[in-house]
Amino acid sequence: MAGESLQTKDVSLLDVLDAVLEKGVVLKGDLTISVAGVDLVYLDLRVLLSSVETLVQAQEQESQEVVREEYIDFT
Amino acid sequence: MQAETNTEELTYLYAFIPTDEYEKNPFPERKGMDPEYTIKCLPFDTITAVTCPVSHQEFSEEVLQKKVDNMQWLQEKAFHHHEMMNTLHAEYTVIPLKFATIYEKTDSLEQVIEEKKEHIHSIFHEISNQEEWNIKIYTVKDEFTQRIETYHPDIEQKKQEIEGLSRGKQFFEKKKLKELILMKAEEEIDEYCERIHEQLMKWSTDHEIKKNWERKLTGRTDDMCWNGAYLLPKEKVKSTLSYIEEERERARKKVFPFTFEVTGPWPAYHFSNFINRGEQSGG
Repeated sequence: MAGESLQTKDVSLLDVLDAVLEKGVVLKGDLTISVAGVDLVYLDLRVLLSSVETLVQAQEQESQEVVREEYIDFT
Repeated sequence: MQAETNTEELTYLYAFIPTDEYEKNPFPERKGMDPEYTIKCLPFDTITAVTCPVSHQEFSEEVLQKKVDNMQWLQEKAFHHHEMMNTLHAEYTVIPLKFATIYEKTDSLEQVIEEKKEHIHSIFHEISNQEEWNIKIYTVKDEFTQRIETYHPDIEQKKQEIEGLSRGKQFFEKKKLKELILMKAEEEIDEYCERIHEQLMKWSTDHEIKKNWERKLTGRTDDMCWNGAYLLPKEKVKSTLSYIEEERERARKKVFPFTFEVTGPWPAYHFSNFINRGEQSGG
C-alpha cells in the first residue's frame, strides 16, 4: 500500500477524465472547447464513459490473459 | 521573455511550474499533445508555462469540437495530458491546467500569466511539497441494509414491539420499520465514512468531498459511499496510507465490510483553482 504510485494502468479512465476535464485550473484560452465545460454529473456522459471504461477493462483482461498463457508456456 | 509567435501553430498549455525549479532541472525532450511536436517550456519571468505547439489542422476550435465527441480520441488525449501532469509533478511544483486550454498566440498566454501572476505564486506556495490523494470507500448497500435488519439492536427492539400489536397496526408499523432500517443503514455508513474523513483531515491541509459515483459509472458491483480528495504534505503521506491500511484490515474483519480505493499521488488538480480566489471561470 505505502509507496503506491499513480501509474496510468492503476487509475480508471473515469478518474482521469474527472481530473483533467472537471478539475485543474480554468484559464481563459483563445479557443473555446465545450468539452472542458462538460459536467460529469450529466447522466448520458456517465453512461458513455462507463461503456468506454468497460471496454478498456475487457481489453486489459484480454491482454493479461495472453501474458498469463505465455507465462505458463515458459514454465 | 518575449516568446516567439508562430501563426501556423497553436499553443496547448499543460501547466505552470516555477522557473527556478525548471532552471535547476530542465525538462527533457518529449513528444507533445500533437505528436508532430515536442514539449516546449516557456519561461515568463518567475513562471514557466509548459506547452506544446499543436497544428491548426488538428486542434483548431472547429476540428477540436468534433474530436472531443470521439471517445477514443478523448481518452487517448486525456491520458496524455494526465501522464504529462504526473511526469511534471514528479519533478516540479505543478499547477495543472484544464484539458484543452489552447492559445492562438503566446502573446495572449503571456498576458494571462501577467494578470494572474499573484494567484499563480500563491498556489505554488500552497501546493509546494504536497500531494493530492483520492480516497474512495465502497460497500454493498443492499447487503449492509440486510445486516442492519438482522443485527441492529434498535431494529430488533422495534420488531419485538410490533409483534405485540394488532394485525392492522402491524401492517403500518412494518412499513415504517422498513424506512427505519434504510435510515439506520445510511446513518451507519455515513458515520463510518465521516469517522475516516475526520481522521484524514488531521493530516491533510485541504480537502474536497466529491459526489459519490453511481454503479453504472464505476462499473463496480458495490456502492461508492465516500469520494474525497485530500491535499497531504509529503511527510504525512506515509502515516495516512498506513492508517488507511489499518482501517482496510479492520473493515475486512467487521460484520459490515467496507473496501477502500486509494489513488495518488495526483498533481493538485482539486486544490489549484483560481475560482475560490474571486476569479471567474473563463474559456
